[in-house]
Amino acid sequence: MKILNSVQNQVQVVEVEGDLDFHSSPNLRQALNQLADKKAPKIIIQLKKVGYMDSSGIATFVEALQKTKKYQGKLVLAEMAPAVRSVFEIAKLDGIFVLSDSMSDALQKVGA
Amino acid sequence: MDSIIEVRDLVKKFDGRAVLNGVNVGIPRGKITVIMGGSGCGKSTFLRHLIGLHQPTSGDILFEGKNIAKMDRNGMDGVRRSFGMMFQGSALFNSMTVGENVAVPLREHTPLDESTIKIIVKIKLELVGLTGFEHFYPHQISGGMKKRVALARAIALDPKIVFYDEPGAGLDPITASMIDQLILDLSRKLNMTSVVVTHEMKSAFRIADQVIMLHKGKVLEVGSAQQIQNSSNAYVRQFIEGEPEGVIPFKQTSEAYLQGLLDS
Repeated sequence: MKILNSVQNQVQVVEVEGDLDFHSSPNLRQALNQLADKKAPKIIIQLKKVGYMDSSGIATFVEALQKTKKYQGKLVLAEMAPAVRSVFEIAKLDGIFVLSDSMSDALQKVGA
Repeated sequence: MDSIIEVRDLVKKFDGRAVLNGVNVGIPRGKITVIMGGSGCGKSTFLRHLIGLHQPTSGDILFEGKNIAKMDRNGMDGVRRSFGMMFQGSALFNSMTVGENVAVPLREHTPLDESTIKIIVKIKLELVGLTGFEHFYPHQISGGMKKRVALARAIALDPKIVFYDEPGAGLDPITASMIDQLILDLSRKLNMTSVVVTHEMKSAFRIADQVIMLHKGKVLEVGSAQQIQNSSNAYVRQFIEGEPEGVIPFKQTSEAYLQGLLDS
């Protein structure tokens, strides 16, 4: 799994590539923790290149959401493949996240 | 048919006595397969081979093309992460809370942080309808709830296939049917393959996409629940109808009795 960090319109964009599973999730958690620790106000996680995600992936996003909410940060999950989105639906967590189908929409939702 | 497990010419002998005697069958991916048969027919031994707890005397067991019958311990450890198992008596640790029980495979087999594990435990408990029970101990919950905890633990690692050993054993008929419904729901929702060992006919026909009927260590019949219900095979009919007399003898033959006396 690869994690690419960039800044677009003062938004932290975290692009994830590859499978998000029990072995790779801790790396993403570390990357997201670093952003939360410095209280990044706007974060978009781009998931276009994630083909598979298990329970550890969704738990990592829940933890990131908990942390960003504590300092009123905004977190948007963008461009999820249907298989990845269904994991959120099964866990009944699609309602608590801000989800977006495109980067332009994600930037708008995060308030860029 | 896309088989996640393919069993070929499986033979298992204990002290020269064949408990499995040439089993050939496939477990279809994403479906619920029920293994049925009377006591001593070899169904528990068959299940133990599927999960790699027994080495066959001969034959092959292919899981996604890999022969687990000839795999070493390291290889088997890797494969077992794709397997979830719900044991007959739930097999919960009584000294641990519900949440800690579900967390066991996550703590043992993943590098995940404790905070991630806690969230996964909550998600799994919600999937089996036990949100809010994570701090309870096994002695504080009912038998049906214990089975749900066992199921949450079985799916903790997002397995490709879940094995259930007599999931309704020791439960009243209503609770047993609730567990069946849960197996059905989770198998469909999570797109999992399920293998259920049971001798409870109602339960088998309620959940099975495929039924494998074992008798004397061989596959007697394989088919959909409806095909098995309409089977004309005399053994299958006697088993379904639960008659004491029929082609399956009520008593062992006197030769077997005499042989047993002379051999001892």
